[in-house]
Amino acid sequence: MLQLHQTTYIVTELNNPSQNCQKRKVLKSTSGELIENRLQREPVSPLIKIMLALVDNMKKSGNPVGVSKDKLSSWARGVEQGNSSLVLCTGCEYQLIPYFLPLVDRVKKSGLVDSKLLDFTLRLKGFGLDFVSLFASLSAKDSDYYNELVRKHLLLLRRVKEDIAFLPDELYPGALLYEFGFLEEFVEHAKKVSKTFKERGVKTIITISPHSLEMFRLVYPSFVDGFDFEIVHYLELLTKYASDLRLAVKEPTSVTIHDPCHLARSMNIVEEPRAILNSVKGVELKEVPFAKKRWTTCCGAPIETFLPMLTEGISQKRVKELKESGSDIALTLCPFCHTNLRNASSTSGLKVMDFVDFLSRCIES
Amino acid sequence: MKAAFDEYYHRLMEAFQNESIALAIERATASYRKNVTNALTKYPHTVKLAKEVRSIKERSVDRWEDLLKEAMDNIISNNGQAYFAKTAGDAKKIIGDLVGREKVVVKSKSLTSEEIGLRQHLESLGNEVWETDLGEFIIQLLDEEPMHILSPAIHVPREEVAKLFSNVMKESIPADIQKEVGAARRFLRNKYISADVGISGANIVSADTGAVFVLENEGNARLVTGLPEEHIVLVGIEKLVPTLADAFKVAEVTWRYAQYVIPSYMSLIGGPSKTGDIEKVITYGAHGPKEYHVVFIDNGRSELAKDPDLKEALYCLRCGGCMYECPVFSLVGGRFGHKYFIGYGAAWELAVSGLKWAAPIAYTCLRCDRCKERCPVEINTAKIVLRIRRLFVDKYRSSK
Repeated sequence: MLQLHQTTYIVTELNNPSQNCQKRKVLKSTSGELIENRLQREPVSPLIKIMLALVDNMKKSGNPVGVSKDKLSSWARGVEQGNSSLVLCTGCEYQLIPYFLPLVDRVKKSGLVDSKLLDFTLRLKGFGLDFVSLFASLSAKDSDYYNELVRKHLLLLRRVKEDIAFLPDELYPGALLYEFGFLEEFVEHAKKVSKTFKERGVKTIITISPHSLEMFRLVYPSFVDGFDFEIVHYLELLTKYASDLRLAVKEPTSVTIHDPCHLARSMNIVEEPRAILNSVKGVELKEVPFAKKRWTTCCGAPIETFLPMLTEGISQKRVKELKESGSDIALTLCPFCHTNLRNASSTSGLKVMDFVDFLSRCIES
Repeated sequence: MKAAFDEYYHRLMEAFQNESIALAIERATASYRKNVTNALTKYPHTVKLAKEVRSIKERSVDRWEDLLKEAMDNIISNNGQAYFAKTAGDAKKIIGDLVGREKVVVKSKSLTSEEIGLRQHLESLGNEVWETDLGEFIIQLLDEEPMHILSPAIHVPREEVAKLFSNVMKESIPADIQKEVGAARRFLRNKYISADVGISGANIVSADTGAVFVLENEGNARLVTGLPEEHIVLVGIEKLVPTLADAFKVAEVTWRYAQYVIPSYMSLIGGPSKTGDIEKVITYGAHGPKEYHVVFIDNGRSELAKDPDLKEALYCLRCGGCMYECPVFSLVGGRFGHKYFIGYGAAWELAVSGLKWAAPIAYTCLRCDRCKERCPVEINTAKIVLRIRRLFVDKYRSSK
């Protein structure tokens, strides 16, 4: 295992939130050396600091921003859990976004070369006063929005398959560890996730994000023995039953699809959302010139944690491309694409909507 | 390690704030996509040929040592000289010794010479060195580093070129592209004629003949390789292919994916200039170079060749198509890179500059895979980048 605690600021961690007032504790590394001294002696790039902070969170809480299990499962309040072996695994990505945003904002403001602001943000985490609690009030509104999107996925899917259950504890597949190159940590995490699925008697996993799908379908089987679950993406399931959904829009509407890179190029799920849209009465699909599996353009999300300024530039360019389709609405199929394009489109006149959000509004009453 | 990260990010952000870069690349991308589509539509067999070229490159990289030996033997038997430089330092030493001091040197575009800082090295020995590719010439005058492998000055608008040329050539050059091109032609013509040495790169080398292929459009490489008395080729070992027939296939795919139906010129150089016209006595240095030297360089390439994930980077034909499809490149151009650009360039950077330069590039890549869609030999950048990130994490792990 990587001894992350030697280089991050986790020594005087306060697990009890009520003790956050004691935040003026001295930071020490596990070797007993003051972190400030250590950083002076051994400067590391902010990129490494951010990465280590996120990886460290993964180890402690199972997700990169240290969000509590309660918060990750709060979308399901008032929804019946069900007990079948067919399970919707949200992958936590929608729920995590509101907690990522404050970090991204800090990185954006501080730049990537020597940043006191960034150090300050990361150190707060070291004191146990993490982004989550610090920005709780800021992110509450966003949390409601993203929780609602997750809920809509389940409710829509239950219209075609009633017995879909979900787990009491939400599991993050660990894509970030894999992407950052922390293979040992990833494999350890993946084994835990797989074990939980087994213990809960899961047979089929329904994913709602491209990354979860890619992790479970392509990556996990290479690293976790006996990862033999059937993996289904919600778009595959909905395509089968699209006509049963009886979907329609009140006014004729033109839409375009932003294909996420991983879903289109890596997982080859391209025609499914188009087939579903085809079944929605009153919807006209207009494609952007360079689209689908080969040419869809990235929204910029993969580098958001390190280079949010570039992400912003990339998503603005993408919004411009999507507008060229001449549609009223651009539909997204990934929580990260959704957030970036929605932010980038605010003054563009193009409405960016989550695919399932759009479909849910098309259910004929 | 931190210094490299900091310098990289500083340059990256500087480029990001320069809006003219994004604008220039947006225009270039639209034009590239149109041209490459036309070229591939007119010659649809190219797509299939590209698959064959991938397999030629796979086989060649795996047995580069055999091919190198064969090529060197053939170059020598054709009355050229062949050298193998293990490192950048070795290559600079060999070429520095061949050129000597106080010479006039003309160069055609070569990414490999950028890689080792050849121009700066020869200048430091007291030589006058001129880049003759128009884009490289502009970059040299600006004292900058290239922004793209085929169009190094892609970010410099005509107005800036006019100012620069007027200043250097001591005459008023208007911001008219035709006139700017004419001015560069007049200025450089004298340099070719007075040059003692011409230095070029090479796109391909066929081992069975030792023949070197140089693709170009401007015609400057013809003059560089044909006019001076001495011609030196600097070429990476990854450019070796087994046969002349293979080399032609690689050449056609390269220029087609570089957006050309046919390039203006392809020079096939097999040895020094020679004649047998008087009494059938072979005499060297007829109209072209009397001396011909080929310097093969490793500089980390053989290490890449050993790695199952990273060796794909060596298949690169340098068509430059991937860069037009990269969303990060579209904003910052070649500053998404160091000596080599964009995601797959991280492998090259690892080979030639080490992990400290490769890592920040690897962590800038989106791993969105669109470059692979464009790449004629389908280089798997996402895999390369992931491998380098893992190497970086492992290195960090072991250093603590």
